[in-house]
Amino acid sequence: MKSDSYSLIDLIRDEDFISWVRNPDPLNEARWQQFLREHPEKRKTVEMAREYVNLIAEDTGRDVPTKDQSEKIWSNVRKTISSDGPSGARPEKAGKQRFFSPYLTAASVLIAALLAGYWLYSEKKLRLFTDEAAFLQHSAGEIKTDLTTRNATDKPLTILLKDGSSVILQPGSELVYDDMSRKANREVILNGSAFFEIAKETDRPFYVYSGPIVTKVLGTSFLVESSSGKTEIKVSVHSGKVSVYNKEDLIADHTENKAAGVILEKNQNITFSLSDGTPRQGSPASFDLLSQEAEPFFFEFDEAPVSEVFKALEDSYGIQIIYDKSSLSDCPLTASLTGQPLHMKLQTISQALYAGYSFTGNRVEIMGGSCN
Amino acid sequence: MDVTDVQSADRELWWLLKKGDKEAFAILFERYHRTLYNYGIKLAPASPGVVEDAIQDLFVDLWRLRDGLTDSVDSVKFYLYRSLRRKIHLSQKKEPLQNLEERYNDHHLPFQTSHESQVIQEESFTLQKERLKELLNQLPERQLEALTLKYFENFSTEEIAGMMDVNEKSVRNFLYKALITLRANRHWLVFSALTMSSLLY
Repeated sequence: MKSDSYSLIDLIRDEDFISWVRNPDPLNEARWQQFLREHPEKRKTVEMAREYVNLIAEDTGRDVPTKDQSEKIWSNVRKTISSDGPSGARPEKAGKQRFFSPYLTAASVLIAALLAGYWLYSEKKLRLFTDEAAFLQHSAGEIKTDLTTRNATDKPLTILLKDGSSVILQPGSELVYDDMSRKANREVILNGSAFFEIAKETDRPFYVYSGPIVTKVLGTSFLVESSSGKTEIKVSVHSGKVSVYNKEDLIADHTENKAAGVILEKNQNITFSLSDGTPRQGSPASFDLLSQEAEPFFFEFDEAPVSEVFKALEDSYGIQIIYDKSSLSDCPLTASLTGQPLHMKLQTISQALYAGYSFTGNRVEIMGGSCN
Repeated sequence: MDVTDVQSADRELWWLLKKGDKEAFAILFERYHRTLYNYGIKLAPASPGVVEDAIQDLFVDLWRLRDGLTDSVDSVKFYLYRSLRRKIHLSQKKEPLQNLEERYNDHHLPFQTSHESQVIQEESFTLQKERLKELLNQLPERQLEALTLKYFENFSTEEIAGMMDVNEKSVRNFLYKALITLRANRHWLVFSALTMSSLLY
C-alpha cells in the first residue's frame, strides 16, 4: 500500500482498494482500516473512491439477461447435449433422463435463490452507498419518468405521488421523484422544505434525501425544512415515527442497522447543521402541534364547519376546493386527519358527507353531499 | 461471499464436472451465465443473439469436452470468460486486436480543473441522468470491457491482460483513460457534485 500520496484516481485504480470495496475480507479490511487511522485526512477521498468503484461496478454490471433469455439458453444447452445420443462424447444410458431431474432442478433453483438473495443484499448495500446517484441510475435503467418539480410560486404546492403519499412543497423548494414503482423502497430527493404525508407500506420504506441527512419512514407525516440562506435543516414529526440518519454515517457504516439514526416520535423535532449533518441538539425536542409553525399541518377537527375544514386544506396544500357552499358549508365535521395523505383526507371527508370528489391539477371538486 | 471461497468451490465443481457430474454442470451454468451475458454484451453491444449463442456453445462445449478439460484451473471464472470472448470475436469475425493496441502517455492527459461543480448544480437532474446513461456507452469498447472486468467482475489486471490478449500496461491504460473520461464528465457523480463538490481537489 502506498503512503499518503493517494489521490482519488489512484485509489479507484488500486487493485487492493477495489478488492476491499467489492470483496471485503478480514485482511484487506484490516489493511485499509489501518490506512484510514494513519491518514484520517484521506477519509473523504476514500469514501468518494468507494462510491466511484461501486458506481462503476453497478453500471457495468447492468446488462443481465431476462429470465426468458436464461431459460432459452439453458434449454438449448440441454437439448443439444441430450441429442448427442450414443455418438456423443459419452454414452448416457439410463442416466440421461435423470440429467435434469426434478431433484436437480430443485438444487439449481435453490442456488439461484441463494445467489439472488446475495445479489439483493449487495444491491441494498450499493444503494445506501450511492444514494442520489443510485436513485438516478435506477431511474435511467428502469423507470422512464423521474420528475423534478420546483415550486416557483409563493404558495405551497402539493405533489401527489403514485404510491398515494402527498408532499406539500414549500415555495422555492424542489422535489425529485419517480413513479414509486420500485419494489424495495420509495425514494425522493428534497432541496428545501416540504411536508410529507406518507402512505403506509410497512415493507416498502420511504426515504427522503435532503442535504446531509436521510429520513426514513414507513408511514407517517413530517416536515423537513431547510431553505437557502439557512445553515440548518430541521425534521419535525406530526404523526407516526421516523428515523433520521446522517448520510455520511450511512455511507461509512454500509448498513443502516449499524448507522445510528435518531428516532423521532410524534411532536418531536431535531435540527441538524446543513453543512455536515451534525445534530444541533443532543436529543429530539418536543414542539407544540398547535403552534403557528406546525398548525398548517395539524388537521384535527371537532364539530368544525365544513367550510373551515376546506379552508384549512386549501391553505395548507395550495389547492382550490369547489363545493356546493349553500348545502355543505355549515355541516359539522369531526375528523382526525393529521398525517393522512391528501387523497385519504378527501376520501374521509367525502364519505362523511356522502359526497364524491375529483382531483384535477390543483382543483378538487366535491360532488353532491349533504350534512347527514 | 469470499473470493477464495468462490474459487475453491468452483474448483470443486470443475472436478465434479470432469467426472460427469450433471448437477455441478447445472450449478456452474446457474452461477455464471448471467454475468457472462453481461460481459458478452460489452463485446457485442448490438447483438444479444450472438451473446446468447456464444454462451450456449460455451456450455455445450464444456459438457462435451469435459474429458479433455485441464485438471487444474486456477480460476474457472477466468477460463469461462476468456472462452466466451473468443467465441464472440470469432462469430463476429474479429481479428485478435493485437496490433491496434492504443498507446498514450498517462501524464499528458488533460485534467479538468475548472469550477465545474457550480455549473453542475444548476443543471437539471434530468439532464444529468441522460449524461450518466450515455457516458459508459460512449467509452471505446475496450475501455468499457476493461472497466467491466475490473470493477464488476474483479479480475486482476494480469487476468484481464490474459483475457484481452494485451499486456498489463495496456490494461492499465484502458482503465486510466476510461476513468479520466468519467471524471472529466463529473456530472456522473451527481451526488458529489451536489453535496461534496468541495472535496474534489
